[in-house]
Amino acid sequence: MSLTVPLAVDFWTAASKRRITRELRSLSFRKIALGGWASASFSLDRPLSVDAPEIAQYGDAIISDARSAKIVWQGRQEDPGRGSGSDGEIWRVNAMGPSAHLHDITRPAMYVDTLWTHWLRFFQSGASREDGIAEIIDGAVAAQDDQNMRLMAQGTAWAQNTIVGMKHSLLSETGQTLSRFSVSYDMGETDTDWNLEVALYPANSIELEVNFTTTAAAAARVVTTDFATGQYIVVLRIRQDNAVAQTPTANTWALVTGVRLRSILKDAAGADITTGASYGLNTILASEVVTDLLGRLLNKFDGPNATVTATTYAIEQLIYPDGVTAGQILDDLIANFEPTFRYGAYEWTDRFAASPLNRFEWVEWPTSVRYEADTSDGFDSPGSGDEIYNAVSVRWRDAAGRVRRTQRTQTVGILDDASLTREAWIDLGDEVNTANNAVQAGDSFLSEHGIAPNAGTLRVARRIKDLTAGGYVDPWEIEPGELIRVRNVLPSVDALNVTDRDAVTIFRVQAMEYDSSDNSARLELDSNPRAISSSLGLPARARRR
Amino acid sequence: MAHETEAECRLRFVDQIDATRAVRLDLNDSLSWFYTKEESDFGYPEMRRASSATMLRDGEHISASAYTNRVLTLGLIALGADDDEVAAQLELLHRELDRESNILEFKALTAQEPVFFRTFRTPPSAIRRLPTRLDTGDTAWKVIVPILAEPFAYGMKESLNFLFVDNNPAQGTYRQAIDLPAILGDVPTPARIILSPITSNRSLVYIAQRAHGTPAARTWFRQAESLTQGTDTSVQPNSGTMSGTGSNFSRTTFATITTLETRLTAFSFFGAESWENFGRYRVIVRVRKTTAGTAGDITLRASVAGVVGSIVDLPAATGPFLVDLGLFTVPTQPGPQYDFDGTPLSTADPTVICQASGASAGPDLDWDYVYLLPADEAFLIISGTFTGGDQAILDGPADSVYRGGATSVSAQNEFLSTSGGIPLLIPGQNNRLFALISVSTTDDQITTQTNIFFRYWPRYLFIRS
Repeated sequence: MSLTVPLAVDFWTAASKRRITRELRSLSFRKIALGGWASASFSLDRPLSVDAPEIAQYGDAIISDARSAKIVWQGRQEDPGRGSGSDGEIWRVNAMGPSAHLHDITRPAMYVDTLWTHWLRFFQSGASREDGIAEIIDGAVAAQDDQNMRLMAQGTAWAQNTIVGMKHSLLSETGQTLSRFSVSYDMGETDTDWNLEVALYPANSIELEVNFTTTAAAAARVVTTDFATGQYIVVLRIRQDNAVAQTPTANTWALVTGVRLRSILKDAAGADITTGASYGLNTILASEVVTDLLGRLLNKFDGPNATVTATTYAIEQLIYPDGVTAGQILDDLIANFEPTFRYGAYEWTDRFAASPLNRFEWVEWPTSVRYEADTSDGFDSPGSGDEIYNAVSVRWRDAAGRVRRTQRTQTVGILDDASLTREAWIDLGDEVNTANNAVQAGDSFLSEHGIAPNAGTLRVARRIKDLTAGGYVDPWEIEPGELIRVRNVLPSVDALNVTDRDAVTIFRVQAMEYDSSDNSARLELDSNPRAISSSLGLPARARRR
Repeated sequence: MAHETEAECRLRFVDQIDATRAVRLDLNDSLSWFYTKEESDFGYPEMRRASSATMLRDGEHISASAYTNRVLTLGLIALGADDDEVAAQLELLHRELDRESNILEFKALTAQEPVFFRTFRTPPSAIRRLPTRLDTGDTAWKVIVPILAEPFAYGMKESLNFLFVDNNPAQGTYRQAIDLPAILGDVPTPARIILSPITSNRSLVYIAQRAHGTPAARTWFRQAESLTQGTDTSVQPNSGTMSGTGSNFSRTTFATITTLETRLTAFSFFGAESWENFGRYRVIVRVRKTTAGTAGDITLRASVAGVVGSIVDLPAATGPFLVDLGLFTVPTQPGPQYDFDGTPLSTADPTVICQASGASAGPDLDWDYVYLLPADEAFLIISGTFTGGDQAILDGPADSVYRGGATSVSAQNEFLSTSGGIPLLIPGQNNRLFALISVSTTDDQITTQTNIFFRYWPRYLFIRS
């Protein structure tokens, strides 16, 4: 096309709605695969002395296609600034896309907790015996996850209902409630005078009560089916249940070999999921976490109409006691568990609504090429072997709080041919720490680093093919999160039967930046899945050591 | 006078582009001012281009272009009995040139109509004294003024008085569409469109434009009852709130299949292969529910030429109302519209499918019509309430949409929300504008009528024909 660029720009606030296209001196916007519509920048030729009711912090900025009324980019105005110089009087307005809402709220969160470090011995006046033992011990077997809770009665004459135990109260800090608990246990003797119990608070209800038995067993309870909603403190204890005082033996102990606690999730509309059947496992899926975030934190996104593709990996441990944003959780889910997924927030789902919400999706990277372009307008493909690894060490903390390391390897032909071993280091911090999670995180990392990610750029200044929607699209219509086939690069018949990037001809479009001054889009190709925090310039979340 | 002037040429600063304009300064009144031909040049505006070129291919690709402002070079002679009289005239000139913006009227010697240039603040570039006239003793100074102006010259406002548009594709003179008469000018010009409801308010508007080919001769909508009826769908007897005569709508009962399923199919929507099928379209359907339900109890989805759109939830209201099922491209194959020699290439006639899901115990869905509104030239969506007294003004020259009366902008602080572009009227083409105007997003009545006023100022690269 060789006419003026048919984009229209509107600024909306409560005080005014105005089209400002004619005053624009420059326009650019950015979209990213991990996050969606990210940022935009406008500069306007306008006198500084004129009131501008349509420009205000958190006012809307909307860029639409004049030919079709399709919203090309939208977001909220931030940092309106004014300046005067040799170029005249200029207003500069930056805008943040809906992806910024992923970092609006910071909250602690607990999804699945297996950590012993969150259990503390408690003392209940008139009931607890100070000479009882409640501790976390290491097992005899040299397995990485072999920590246990030992509850043991000592001394003499334990009256009925005297107890010793430990308490878990992380949910009270996160503001969530319990959906499921499961315990595995073993006792030193078979004795009906002694019980192992799980009590929940604030209801003060005993939801598991088993007599001491030397037969190892396990039990699980779920919300609604087994216990009432609203519980957030879990107590594990042993209790003497005979009206006659009992003197414990050396085998009057219970060993809790595993405890799994899960919190209640929200559905995409924000309602608690209280059906017990929804919590049949000790693990959680990343897609369940995404849905929970939509209902819990992401109130600017259209949760009920969001696209959330189900994931498969069962996450064994996922907590954020120090506070986290939804965006950081999503980045963790992709980086550690589901590297083939991406997420983003985009246009309003109902532009006519009084308080419109943004469309959100959590989907897999496509396996078919959407765009076809060539290198005519500029192509830069540096390629680097610096991102190829055939091994990775994953640092994590086990349930007892000790630092662990899990090593994973893969075969990479070019490294093997060069007799090279390149090993990366991943720190999972304190939030995702089981051996299986570490394996998954390591394998996810290696899957993304078996081929040199081609951190190149492709400039597009003309219409290119869109094999999904059909026809051609203009540079500003190109969406990241898709695969692009670039012609005039090393040809390969494999490029016609693609299921993923090959970093030679097929690339992932990680980001797109459009500039109206030359009507071109600059596509960032491949590169490592970029966390939205780096795109927004936010500091990466510090992980507790 | 040694300089070649043109006495019958009109050149003057005026206050507006209108028949009632007042003259601020006549630069060719043959008394104090003379316009000289040999030193004047109206020129043409230059063009800025965004282009890209590499060593990978010959030539450059032009990705966008836009006219720049133009420079009107005027050679003027200021005449007076003495230098003081000339100075007084120069003072008038300087005042006009110093305005932030101004309007310069020009009518060539034998032209019927004038054109108007919208100028910007510009100083003269040269001034010199001419020899005193021997016969009259008058003093003369020559001034060269390179006036910066907008790229185009404008003609007088052209008006189409109100057109009575029915919100019914099957009835009325203007059935949701207006074919404009020949548009004057050299280049496209923005339209000023005023929407004035006859009765009640309006709060949802779709404006679309198609200005190539023969849009008046094409099919743009299909009545539901004329399409192939799908699962649980059948033609129904006449309803007064649906368009068309006789059996004029289709009903889907969801009796056997409640999930998304094909309910209506238009196998050849436009009726034939044609190069004019090429383009991008927005699918709009008019539907209603037999009873009020809950939001999302019925969902719709369209498919055009095999490409499936997004699922859209219907609101809780019964309607009828218009539903936007998204944008689609025809053809889906990325082929060109024109052959290399400029010959238009025929594009296949697309199949359009409408799908719906609902509950067998829930409300039934009635379909009135399916529109393929062109969305590849100009498309504007407006939401926000406007009335007959507080009209919706789509001000193309100002590139703004606002509410106002016949002669004033509204003082009310309720704003119209817009996305898309106000149509540019294309000279030398058949301009068809579509207008689907609803009372609200949940209420579309075929009986509503809207007066639509069109205004535009023709744009010329030089003088008008």
